[in-house]
Amino acid sequence: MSPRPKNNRTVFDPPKFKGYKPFGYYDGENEPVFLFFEEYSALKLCDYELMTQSQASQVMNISRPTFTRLYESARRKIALALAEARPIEVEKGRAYFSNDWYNCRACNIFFTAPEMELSSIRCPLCQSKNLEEITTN
Amino acid sequence: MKTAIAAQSSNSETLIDKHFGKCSHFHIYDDISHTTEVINNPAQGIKGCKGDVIVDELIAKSVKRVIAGDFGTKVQQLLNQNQIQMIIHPDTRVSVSEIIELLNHKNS
Repeated sequence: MSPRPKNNRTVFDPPKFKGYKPFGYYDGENEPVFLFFEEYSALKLCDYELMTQSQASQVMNISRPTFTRLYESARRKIALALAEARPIEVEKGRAYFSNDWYNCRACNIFFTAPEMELSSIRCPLCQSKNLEEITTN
Repeated sequence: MKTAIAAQSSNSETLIDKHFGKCSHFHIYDDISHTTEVINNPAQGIKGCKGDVIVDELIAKSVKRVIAGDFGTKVQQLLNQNQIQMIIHPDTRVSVSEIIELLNHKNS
């Protein structure tokens, strides 16, 4: 029997980086650790916004036990990357964005575009159309 | 369209704030009349979630776009419900006047 599919985890803002790299004594090429968007989000909610796990699980629309597993997996991945001097890359796992975000490649800002048609979306600051869409699909 | 910029002080040369809810002042720029109004953060001194107080104030001023270094999760939900555009500017070494210049450039 196949396992039950995982529910989507609601994520608010996208991470402002694509990854991290070690520098210093050992900065050779190691296999990267892939951190999912939802794991980054779990860590941010708990340790940056200082929510309790139960509050954070409601924000992400998952149960409290599921959130705890997600949070633990985030911590373990980051510890693995630090201990083995491996780079971190962020990857979309089962994250569902509550709104569509766009990244302007010219001025590196992130923005949402409520009530706008896809073809008319431009960077609100530099007017560039060189955008990367960070959405669910 | 009115744009609210989260800033560290009331001076126009000040830097934008890292955190939307915790900033000291909002600079509200109107790109039709090219005027800037500076208001104190209405939620200053409130502990915990201050998003609702700020969003109510900004809606009363008919702001349609907000700029800050980062937004908290609860305030994102509120801004989203009220169809206000959010702009995250990860580089917080940029000043309010530079942002206003960029917003202005678009209309010319």
